[in-house]
Amino acid sequence: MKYGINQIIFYTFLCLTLVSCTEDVTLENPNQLTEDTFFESLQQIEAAANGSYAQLQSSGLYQRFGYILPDSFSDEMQSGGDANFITSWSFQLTPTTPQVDLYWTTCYRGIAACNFLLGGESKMRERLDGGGVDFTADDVNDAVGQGRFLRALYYFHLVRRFGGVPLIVDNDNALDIPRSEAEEVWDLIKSDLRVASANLFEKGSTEEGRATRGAALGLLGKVYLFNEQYDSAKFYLDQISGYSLLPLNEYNDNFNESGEFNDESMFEVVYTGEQDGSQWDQNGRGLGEVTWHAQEYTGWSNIIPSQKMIEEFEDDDPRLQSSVLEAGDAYGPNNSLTWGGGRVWYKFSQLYENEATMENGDTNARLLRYADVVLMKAEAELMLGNSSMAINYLNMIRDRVMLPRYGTDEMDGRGYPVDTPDQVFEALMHERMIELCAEQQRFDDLIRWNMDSREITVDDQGTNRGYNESIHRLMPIPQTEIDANANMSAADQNPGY
Amino acid sequence: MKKYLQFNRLTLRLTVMAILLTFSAGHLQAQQRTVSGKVVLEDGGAVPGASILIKGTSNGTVTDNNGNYTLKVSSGDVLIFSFIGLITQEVTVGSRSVVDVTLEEDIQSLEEVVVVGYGEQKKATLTTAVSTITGDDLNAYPVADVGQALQGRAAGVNITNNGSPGGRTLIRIRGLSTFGDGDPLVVVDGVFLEDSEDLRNVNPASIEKIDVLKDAAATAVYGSRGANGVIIVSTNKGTPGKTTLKLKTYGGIQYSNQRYDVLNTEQYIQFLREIAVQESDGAVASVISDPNFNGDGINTNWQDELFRTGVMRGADLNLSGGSDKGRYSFGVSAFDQEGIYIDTEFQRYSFNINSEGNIKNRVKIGQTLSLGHSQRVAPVVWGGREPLYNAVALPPYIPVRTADGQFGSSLDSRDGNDAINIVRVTETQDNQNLFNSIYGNVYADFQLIDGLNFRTQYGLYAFFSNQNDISRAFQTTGRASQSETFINKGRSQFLSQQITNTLTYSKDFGQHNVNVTLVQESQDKNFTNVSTFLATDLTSELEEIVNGTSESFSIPEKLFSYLGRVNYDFDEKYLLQLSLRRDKSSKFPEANQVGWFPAASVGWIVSRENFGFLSAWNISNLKVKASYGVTGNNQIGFNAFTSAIARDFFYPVDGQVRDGAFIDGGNNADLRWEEATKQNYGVEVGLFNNAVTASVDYFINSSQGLLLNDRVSSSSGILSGTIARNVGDVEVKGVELTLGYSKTKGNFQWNLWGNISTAEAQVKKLSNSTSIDQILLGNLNPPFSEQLTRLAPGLPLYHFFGYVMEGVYSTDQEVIDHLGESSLATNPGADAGIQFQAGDVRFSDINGDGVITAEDRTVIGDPNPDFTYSINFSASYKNFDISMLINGVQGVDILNANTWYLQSQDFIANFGTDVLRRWQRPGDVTDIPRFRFVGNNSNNFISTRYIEDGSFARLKNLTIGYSLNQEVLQKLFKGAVGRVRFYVQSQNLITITKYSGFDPEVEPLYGGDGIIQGIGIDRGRQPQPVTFIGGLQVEF
Repeated sequence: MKYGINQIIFYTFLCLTLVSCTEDVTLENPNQLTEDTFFESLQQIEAAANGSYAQLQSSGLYQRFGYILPDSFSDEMQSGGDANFITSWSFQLTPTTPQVDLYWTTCYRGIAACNFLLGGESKMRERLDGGGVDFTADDVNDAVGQGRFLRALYYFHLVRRFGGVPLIVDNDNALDIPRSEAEEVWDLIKSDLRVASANLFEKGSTEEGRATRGAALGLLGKVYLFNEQYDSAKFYLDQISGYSLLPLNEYNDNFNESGEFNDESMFEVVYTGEQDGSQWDQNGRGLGEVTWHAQEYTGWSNIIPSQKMIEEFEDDDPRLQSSVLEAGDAYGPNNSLTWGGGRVWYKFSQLYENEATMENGDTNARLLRYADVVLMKAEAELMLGNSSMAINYLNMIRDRVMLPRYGTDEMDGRGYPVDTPDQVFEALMHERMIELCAEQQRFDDLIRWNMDSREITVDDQGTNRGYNESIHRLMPIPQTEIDANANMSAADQNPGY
Repeated sequence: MKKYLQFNRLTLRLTVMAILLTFSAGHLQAQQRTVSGKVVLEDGGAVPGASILIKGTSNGTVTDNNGNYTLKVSSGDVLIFSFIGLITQEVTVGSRSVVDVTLEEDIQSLEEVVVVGYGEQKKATLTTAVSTITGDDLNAYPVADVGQALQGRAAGVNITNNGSPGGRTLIRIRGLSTFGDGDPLVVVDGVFLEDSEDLRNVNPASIEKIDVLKDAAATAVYGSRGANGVIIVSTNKGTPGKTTLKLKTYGGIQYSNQRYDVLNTEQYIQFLREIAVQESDGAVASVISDPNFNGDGINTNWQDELFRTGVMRGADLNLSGGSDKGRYSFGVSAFDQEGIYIDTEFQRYSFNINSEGNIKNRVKIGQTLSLGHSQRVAPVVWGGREPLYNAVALPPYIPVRTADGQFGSSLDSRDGNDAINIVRVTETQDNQNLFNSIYGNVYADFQLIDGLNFRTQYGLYAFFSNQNDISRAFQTTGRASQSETFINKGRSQFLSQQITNTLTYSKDFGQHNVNVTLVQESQDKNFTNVSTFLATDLTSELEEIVNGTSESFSIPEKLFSYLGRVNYDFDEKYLLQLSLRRDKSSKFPEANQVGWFPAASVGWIVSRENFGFLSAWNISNLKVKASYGVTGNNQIGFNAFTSAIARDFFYPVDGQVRDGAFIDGGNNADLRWEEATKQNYGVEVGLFNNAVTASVDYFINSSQGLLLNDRVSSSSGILSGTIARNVGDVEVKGVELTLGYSKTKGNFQWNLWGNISTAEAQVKKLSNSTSIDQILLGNLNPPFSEQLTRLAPGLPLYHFFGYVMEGVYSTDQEVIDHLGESSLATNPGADAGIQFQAGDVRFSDINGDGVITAEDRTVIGDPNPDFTYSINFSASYKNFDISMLINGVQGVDILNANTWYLQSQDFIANFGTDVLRRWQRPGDVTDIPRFRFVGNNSNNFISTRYIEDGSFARLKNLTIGYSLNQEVLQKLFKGAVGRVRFYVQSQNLITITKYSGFDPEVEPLYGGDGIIQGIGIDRGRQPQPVTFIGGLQVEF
């Protein structure tokens, strides 16, 4: 049986119609937006800003190692034995120590998030000019200000811990960047903060949690102190307004949950306690709005106040009660409970208002508060030769906690005369150590003052902690960076590691 | 756990259906005179199952077990006698009433065909490396999925089972040659499944055969997906003129008597008291601080509480048949397997129907369809511990339940032992997966002119997966409790649609035989997932979610391809095959979407020449072949080449958690396929009319540009720290040898078949960055904070990396003698490196620098076997038959994590009785280190302490069967039943190994992305059970 020609044509035609000719296989991403189409609305601009903060919350920074590393280096602390603390407390960090890598990586993720936001500025302004958008020039300025502030903050964390680091300001040019000089990093921080202070809203004019002009000025002043440029420090610190020291009966609001965003607070890393189970290895992604600060310092007492720290407090200093818990101390809601454990840090625990600490803590990390600004102003004035102004600022801190003023006989009697600039400096050291204890200030203060070897070398028992100022002022550059960065080699490692 | 289908009721239904079908089948017989006879071989042996067809009709029959047949015929009829491997004969009936026929063996079994992808080919003229496994072999013993049935059936095909029912079976063809997904492509009747795991819903009883394509010349027709080999499953289509109804039921038990020796109550309390004295700071204070505590007479054997004897049962029913107008096949199947752990189970129900009709003489239209439902209840991992490890660690002085019914738990917070009551876990925790699948196709085949065929096929594969995890609130007698109930549900759906158009031209020009195949194919895939979560303290009774949080995502993919293939042979003597495929895939950036995959192979059938040595040496078949080809691997995530913006970097503003946007991923516009260049050289020999067969294949697979998430400088801020790049090179070389011998003598028939394969894989290159010379993989945390496996150039894939254990320091002086005082832990001036004291594990100072540091780690084990082998033996004598399958792996290292749980001694838990001989005081000479409570315990660092030889030989299957005599059948069933066979069977009856863990067959360690992170890491998974089954097979 043979086909006729008609049937052959029919079947051939049928076959041809069945052959698909659409060869285009390119697909849209149904799950995520692309960079081309982003920054089209206020919500998107704000989301990019929010994402720039998120790294501050993660385990490399204020969920864990952001406070553990600088605090455990200092002489305020005695190790509780936990491996996450003993390594840094005894200066045994190596290029492969995980927390070093995590701290570094987290800061750079934060920088990449800021660069993403800042890289969108030209698109925002173009679309603003084009009209028909739901955001204003102020919104763009505020977003740029936040991006600059946060980028400076991340680099500030890096430059103090690692020295000169790769300077990345553009995500399209972010691979294999070599180390810069520390000087260049400081310069970028300063220029970012100047732009930020010119763009940001004042506290009260923006949403709670966002960076403000005051925070940018405060941080800028601090940066100039580190650079020993005291004129500039004074210039920017003096522009800060709208903040005040809380009265003594509200002093604990600087460290507890209910007092968040008080009049003294200038910048906080925000936690709400919400989490979706991903709190281990928290990398900013997902619902991980928790910090382990209280559990690490108080619940597990992985690190405890050193005896030296306790002895630094004057006997009648009410700040001791606010900072440290000892067996028998009253704590909890209305101080109705009695602490049964050993000596632990009280600051930033939930125990001001709760019976027990929580692993998934929701107490904000206070990165900058007005008391620090007042003490920085004192430092700037002192260094500029204005001892009396410095003493005035120190006494603002004394007045708030109702302790005797410097320059009085009573304070002279307590061993804190302020007759010479050196004596004023000793008073400043004392006041900063007490007021800002366990707030990640002490170690960097000591380095700034070149006092680190004197203060850190031995522990309470007089045993050598292994500190070597020519090595341990900086942490090692993570080995992962040296391995994977084509423009870095072992020669780029910090000295001594 | 509720049962979703009542098994017994289904079995009953199957039986009723079988009986009904039997009667209807009887009506198909025509009413004419009867002819009978016997079909035998040349040596007189009966040929059961030979097909007898009346020429020009669809009427016919099949010989019974003794080779006898009866058939209604008319005088002029011509009978066609046929059987695979025997030469078909035609006989005119004439007036005879008895027609006995002797069939001759088809010396080269020339007509055996192999499915090669987009067509079939005669096995004799094949120039590529393909192994065929018949449905009979696959169904030799019941298994949860078809992958398991492939074990030991083909050279170069390695199967690693997961002991728990319904667990993932690993299929590797010729070793691992990628760092990514090394799963072979699975094609069922021309329809692509998504991965080899999807084989679990394919009913083994519906399979006619499986062809495994191994070299590139065979797999290159699958282009970008062929690099890992291809498994082609062909389901039963029915045979014209042969109506067959098969019913198979079986049932049995599974168990494992393996247990670790752990401390009993008395020993455990004594152990706790000793370590409490040692740790005098009170860190180990616990219940034993009460000097009178004696365990109150409780001595719970937690392993016995975990293990049980499981029941396994199943039933299959298959009906097939046809005529010259068409053919059909359908089957139903049920399988139910209880795990040997409490509260673990796997059930599968499947239904398949295939049909094909001839419309006119030149058009065929047909379809295949299979529906599957399976349910798996998997073991629950709690607190990072496998069930077995909780069973080992639990204090023996805790009861499973107290007298008032409460769950026992560690006594109080000072008990120190945080192991979890495993019976409580199974009762409060559900871990259930329901998996429903559909696959099938509809096709039309047109013969345009003689030799020219066009076939168009629409293929569909879809699955719907429900994951239901519930962790209910609970209370115990001790500190363990949970006040909230957590419900996690995942709903995913996958849909793959495929259109395949094939134009085939086949023509013989004298002795020149030509076959040309052109294919155009497109595939559209989409995976969607919705997951939802709820934590509530309102109730633990309910299983559904109100006011939960949920998320969804989808992953689309497209592939568009052309393929051309030419087969040419001269007189079936000189063979040549050329093919070229072009794939275009959505997985890559637009500039790199297209890939070309060429292949060529040649062969020479020497035995068709007139060489004198052939007959002198009784060579009945001799073929040499060689092939070369390029295939690809596109197993990489969606949009891996470009970054996107993620919205889940949440941050609270004004007291409210807001969306936060950040870049997800890095950009690599150069991303392209992995390419695998494969060579194969083979020889096939048959001697003595192919009574003896042998084949040898040598292969070299060289993979270039392996897709790897290449580490980038972390200062780039890229969240994953990696960018997908084509950076790795791997080479695999190996030899496959198969040998077979078959013999028939009177009533006694037997055959022996075995294979042995090697596949030596070596990493050639890892990264474009010169300073990255290793990649550490294999996170098994807990218990190990270090990674267990490593990739490094010049070394085997996934080798183990760590310290070399030399023993246990007996005294501090031994530490000083070995490393000097500066490495003594009690010396305050201790230097860098690990500090030791008496009782600690002594490691080799590999680099000889006088301290033990991370630099002293080295390659400590290779989990890739030197070779694998299998031996199949089967024999029959009169009504009895026996078959066995031995499966073995030789020269393989296992990292035995059980050692950690039995000996680690750096936390408070129960341990193996090995710790009774631990180091306790200076001078003790032992292989078990001291109890050491402080963390970062170097005694437990990855070292040779955990590495063991995992070679084994296993009697995978032993079956003894008995078939009823034809006379008995006639008497009992009056001819309605053609064959009845009873059998008893044991799986995994004997395992010969020196390995100290439960089971040397260890499933791979997968990462969260489903990609292999390590192999040969024994982490306390359920061992393969020993199985005993009794079964019944009936053919009508």
